[in-house]
Amino acid sequence: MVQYKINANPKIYETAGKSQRILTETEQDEDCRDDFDSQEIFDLIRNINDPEHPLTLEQLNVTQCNHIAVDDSANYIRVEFTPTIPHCSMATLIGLCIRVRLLRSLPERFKIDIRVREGTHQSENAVNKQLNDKERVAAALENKHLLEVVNQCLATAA
Amino acid sequence: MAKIKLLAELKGHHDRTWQISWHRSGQFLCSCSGDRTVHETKPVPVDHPLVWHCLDVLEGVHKRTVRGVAFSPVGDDIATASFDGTTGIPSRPGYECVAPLEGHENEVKSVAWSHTGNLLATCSRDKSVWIWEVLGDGDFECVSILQEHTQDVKMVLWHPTLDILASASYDDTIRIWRDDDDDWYCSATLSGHTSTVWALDFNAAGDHLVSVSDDQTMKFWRCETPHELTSTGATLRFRQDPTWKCVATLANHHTRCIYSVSWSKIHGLVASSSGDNSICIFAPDRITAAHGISDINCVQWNPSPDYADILASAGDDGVIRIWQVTDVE
Repeated sequence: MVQYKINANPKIYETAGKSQRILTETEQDEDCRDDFDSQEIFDLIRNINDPEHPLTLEQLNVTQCNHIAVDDSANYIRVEFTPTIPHCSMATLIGLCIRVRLLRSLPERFKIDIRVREGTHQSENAVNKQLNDKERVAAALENKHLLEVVNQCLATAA
Repeated sequence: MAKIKLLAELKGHHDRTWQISWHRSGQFLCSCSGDRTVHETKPVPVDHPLVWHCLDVLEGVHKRTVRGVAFSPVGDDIATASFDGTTGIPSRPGYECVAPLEGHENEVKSVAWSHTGNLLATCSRDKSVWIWEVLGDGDFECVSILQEHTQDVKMVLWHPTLDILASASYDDTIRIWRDDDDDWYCSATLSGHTSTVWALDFNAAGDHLVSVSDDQTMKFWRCETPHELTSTGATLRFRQDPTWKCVATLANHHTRCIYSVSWSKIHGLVASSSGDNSICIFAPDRITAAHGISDINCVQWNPSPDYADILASAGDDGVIRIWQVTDVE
């Protein structure tokens, strides 16, 4: 897909390998309402593959649990991600993958904002605007080629 | 406070409904959807307000999402705007499909008929606005390609009584287009919104405009016609375009992107719809969770004086809802 890599030698971070989620007693009680939290959202997106490396978004530190805000009662989720380099042209694609993953996994009631972490990309506003324009997201997902690329990145996520 | 009652729910689309357009009689409407179809739906709102029939499903016209639909203000023609890059003009009877209008480089976002039905405007993600002359018998000729927006153009709308076009864009501006002897030009750029302008509407007189944006505000703009410049007896004839000045900004009514606005030509009420799941009616009133948990992509007042209290809405849930708004003081 890409002839040369935009960031040929990214820094790879240690990962925990599996979810850090600690199940509490109430969470295991099926009669108890169990709200979504940021760890759960993180688990949904941490294993998404980077578009140009055989590495996950977690390994590249693109996504971090404490950069995810969840307000279950308000049906609101905000995910901030950190491109590996400030001029990364893959930033929009990575954000799109995160959006699609959450669209497919979460109940429809959630409103989701996906944003680049402040100060981590030179076209931060342009990337954010595009990722949160649902009309452009809908048009992008009707593009077969792009959808294939997204699905490839998501293949490792589940 | 207005009284708002849900009259009917029109189900049938299999994906997000993007837009609705009322027939000028107020007796039926068209809706379009991500399911690539257009539905023509007929109620008798006064006699049988709860009974609606889907008259026609237009399938196979478009290969991708149908983003926009517009009834001609004079005839029964409809026009459709699609992400497949074409504009469809399914012709009567039975909306047989004639050749779609091609030319835009990518997704067509909106289509609109002028007040006489003689002109058609389309706009696209390719940043351009096209003006087509309606020659009759399914023939259209592109008379102008306007390329001054710097981003994706979301919506086009004609003035209610004049051949003046307004367009709203991802570049945060609204542009007003006029023609000077068939030469179309941008006569005004309305700046003030701080994010994508999704929709706009004129009042009945056409001297005011309302716009809504991703910045979660609604702005009202007034048209100001410049005074004739005179100097020492001789009248200087410049091309004096009216200017549009923002006269009011309404914030804090919606908490997410505002996708649509409709200004009733009959009673002057303005309705807006938003990603926060609500419809607001100014004199301010609100229908919360108007489509449950879904974004509401479009609101349209019924254009007929006989059904002026009827409002239609379209949501991400694929449903069209018909509302009756009464007791408005």
